Amino acid sequence: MKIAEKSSNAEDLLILVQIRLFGDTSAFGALVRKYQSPLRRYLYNLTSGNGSLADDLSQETFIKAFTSIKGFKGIGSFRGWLFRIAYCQFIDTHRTFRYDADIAEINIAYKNVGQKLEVLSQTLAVLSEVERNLIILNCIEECSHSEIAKITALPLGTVKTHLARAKEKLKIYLAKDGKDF
Amino acid sequence: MEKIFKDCRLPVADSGFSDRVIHRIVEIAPVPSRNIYITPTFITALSAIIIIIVLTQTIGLSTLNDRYEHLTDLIVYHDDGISDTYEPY
Repeated sequence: MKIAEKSSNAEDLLILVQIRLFGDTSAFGALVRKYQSPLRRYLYNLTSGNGSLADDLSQETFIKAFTSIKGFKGIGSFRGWLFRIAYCQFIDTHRTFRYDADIAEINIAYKNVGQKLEVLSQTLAVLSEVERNLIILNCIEECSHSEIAKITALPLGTVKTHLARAKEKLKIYLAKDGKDF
Repeated sequence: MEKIFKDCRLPVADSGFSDRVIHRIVEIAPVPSRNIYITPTFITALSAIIIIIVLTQTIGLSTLNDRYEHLTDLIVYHDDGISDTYEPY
């Protein structure tokens, strides 16, 4: 684990202690500000560029994290725990609401990511939903294999196998277009 | 492909999102009640009583009284020599 990552985890733990002991909502605000960008980007990619759905899911994720803060034992990273909640929220929404993969509805906030998303969305379309999630977590959010295993609740070996298979699929797809992985 | 992934790692602008979330959290956060002060107040009062009992039992109440009187004597003795209107020059 990198030193910066360790100190970030320690910082998060201090804030969480403050929240749990004193119910300090402003302290939770610091965590919201810190993780809004990676969380929204993750959900934005997961929903294939549906900005409003990604924002709704991100908001619900933060609220769920606040209400169930006692469930966080501090063993893993807070980011991993937050992503796990986000993934569960996405799965729940996905079951009831089949979103339209129309990427025209992109918020101004996402304009940085949105312009690049069309290419990514087309490329990741060859993958299954599980593989797409793993590639987003590994290649975009730069999560470790063990962190991904915790987020997706899959065994570590399965994560590695799925990732290797997904990368192989992408390599074959891009080779057809004459691009490198 | 690595370039596409790198491009997608750009940060997402806040655009008031955090404020909206914090506002909703403040709405649902439990309001602290006076009940939370009962336990600490009770513990403080109990420990104060225990400290007083232990002190009086170990040192002895008469010794404490003697010491108190000795201290008040000292204060009175030192107070006598100082006048409010004392001017050295």
